[in-house]
Amino acid sequence: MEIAKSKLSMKSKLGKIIPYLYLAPSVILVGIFCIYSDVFSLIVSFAEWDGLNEMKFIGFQNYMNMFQDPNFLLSSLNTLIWVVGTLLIPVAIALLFAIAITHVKTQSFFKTVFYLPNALSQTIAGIILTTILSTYGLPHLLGVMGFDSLANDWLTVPYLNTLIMVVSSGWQGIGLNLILFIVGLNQIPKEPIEAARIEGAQGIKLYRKVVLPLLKPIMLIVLLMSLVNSFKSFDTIWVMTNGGPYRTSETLAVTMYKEAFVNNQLGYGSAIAMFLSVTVLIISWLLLRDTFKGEE
Amino acid sequence: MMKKFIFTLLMVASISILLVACEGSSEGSKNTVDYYSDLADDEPTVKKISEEIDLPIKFTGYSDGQAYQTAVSQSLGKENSPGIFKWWSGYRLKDLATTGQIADLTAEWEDYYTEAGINPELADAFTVDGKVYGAPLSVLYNVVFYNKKVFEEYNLSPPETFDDFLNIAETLKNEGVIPLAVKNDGWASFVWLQFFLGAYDPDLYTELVEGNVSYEDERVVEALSAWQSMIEKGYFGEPVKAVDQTKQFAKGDAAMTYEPPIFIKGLEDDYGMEANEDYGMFVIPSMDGTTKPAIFYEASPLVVSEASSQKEEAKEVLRELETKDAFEIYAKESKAAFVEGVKTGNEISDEINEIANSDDYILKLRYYESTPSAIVNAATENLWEFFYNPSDESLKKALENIQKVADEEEF
Repeated sequence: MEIAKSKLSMKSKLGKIIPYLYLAPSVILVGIFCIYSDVFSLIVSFAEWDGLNEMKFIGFQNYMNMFQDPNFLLSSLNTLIWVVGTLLIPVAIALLFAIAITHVKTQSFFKTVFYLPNALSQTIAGIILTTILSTYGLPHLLGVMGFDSLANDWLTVPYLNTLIMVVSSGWQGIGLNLILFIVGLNQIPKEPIEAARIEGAQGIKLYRKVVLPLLKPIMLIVLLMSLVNSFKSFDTIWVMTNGGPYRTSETLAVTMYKEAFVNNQLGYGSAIAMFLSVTVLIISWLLLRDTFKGEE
Repeated sequence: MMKKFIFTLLMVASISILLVACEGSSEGSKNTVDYYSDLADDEPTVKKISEEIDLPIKFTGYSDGQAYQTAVSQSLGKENSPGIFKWWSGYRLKDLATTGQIADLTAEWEDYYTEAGINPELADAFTVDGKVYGAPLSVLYNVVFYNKKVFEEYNLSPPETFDDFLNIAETLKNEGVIPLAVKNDGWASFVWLQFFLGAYDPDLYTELVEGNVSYEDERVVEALSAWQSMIEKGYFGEPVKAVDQTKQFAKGDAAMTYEPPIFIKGLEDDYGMEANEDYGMFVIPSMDGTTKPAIFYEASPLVVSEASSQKEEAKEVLRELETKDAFEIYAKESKAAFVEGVKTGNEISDEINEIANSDDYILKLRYYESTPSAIVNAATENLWEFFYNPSDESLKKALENIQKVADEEEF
């Protein structure tokens, strides 16, 4: 009797611990790699530190310098261009393609074709495109064909290179968003659409009034993912232009890296990191708040 | 039962992930010494040296210099930092030495390197506050390489005066050939600053990098106005990737470029060009025609991490690397030599080494190493901006911006 009781109590204790054990790996990983790093970056952002010598606390100086730094302001503008580009290309185009694909029979073929670029890492895609667009690539071919004004390395032309990179990154981002939209479109119940059709809704009106509102939860997820990714844009830029020429194609993530690890101003780099994190956090909260409200 | 199995599996997997993430990079046998370098192409050379001299070296090469500096700087002070790593001389070495995170090699120089035939004067380039922190890996002299076939086609010969150089550039431009090929690496704009200041007045260059002269000084402006004029006249090609710069030169699309002798390796290995047959070299003459021409050099040391668990083994390996036998192999593979009596086997490279050590030229340490890093960073960005938008105004603005940073630095 006693043994059975003790076994039962052991089982109940274990039952209480098990949920925490399930959570432990994630909590430990997030704790070490996210929370600890975030807190450390926050502390460093109030200091002048080169990573080698003693840290010197300087209050809000890094944050004040940030808003007077033309490189930071230009990279903020570039980040905005990336955000807009990311909304236009991988979200809007993916949605249009998804709608078109759900109307054809060979869905899986198109899904594979459009998803394929997503299988490439951004770094590899960047290297391939850099080679294609370099002096002896596509521009050279255009020069041979008589278009002399186009026969230069496009990635060294300030501002044009940002647009090229946004398109390149967007092209890669279409695949995943397209799949998510197709899944969303296929899951929409047929009844409301049929009812709307009987009521006379057709074409764009049907999509605007019925389909897209029903697709809203998926659209919010895609939007959030694309926005966060656009704020984090780094790999493509680092590989294709290194943020140049003369820092004209940097985004906030690249500026943060350059200041922290190339110019050895870890304090200033951390301040940019904090600004970036808070911006992403606010945008994510605004978007998710609406989603939760919808669910309630 | 199944639930328990899955639970155990998940726990084992997650603990493994954590352990892997926390583990350092202390791979390899106890005596193997990690050798880090930003010269990723050196891998076969270092491998050859380690095989022929039987040294326990594990080479790790980085192709991105900035990522390399970050990785090495962040590893210092830790036991698993690389035993040996390649670094830069001048201020970049000073930045590390003053933190106490790299080993003092003064005794090694006295007991081994000098004994093995390494010129003790080289130690000066790696000395900070009286202590020597580096063992020489390479000394690279920057010269102008020219494509001989292109020069022959347009009846050109290496310039004897600066005006000759400008005439050559004008002829080439009129013939549709890019006079000077330029590479677009983020740091590469400073080479033109030293190029023009060296041709204008080498002493002014020294005064500038030591902080005794302002970047806004009218002599500096005058020297760089020559650069501006050449950009405006179209004597410089569009900045391109380093591989395309080599291709432009090899194909004859560009006739000249300003590089160290390691540039030869790409010409020979990738395009089968031959020294004195397909390409030659010259040093840019001084603008006034009376001052000795200046040759800028970059001296790269191998450094030992003070905290590394491999510190003692690394010193032992360095003793073997700092010998003529090791430098013979390195010179033949890299096409660059600096140790007396060591030849590369390449006529042009050996000639560069010879003239650099003669009394006919003034040797100057490269801008990258001879002035504080913060100024170099500001200069490279601002000079690129000037290069892409050359005008009196943009030159003035670039020099003003560099001086602002210089005003806050300690020399």
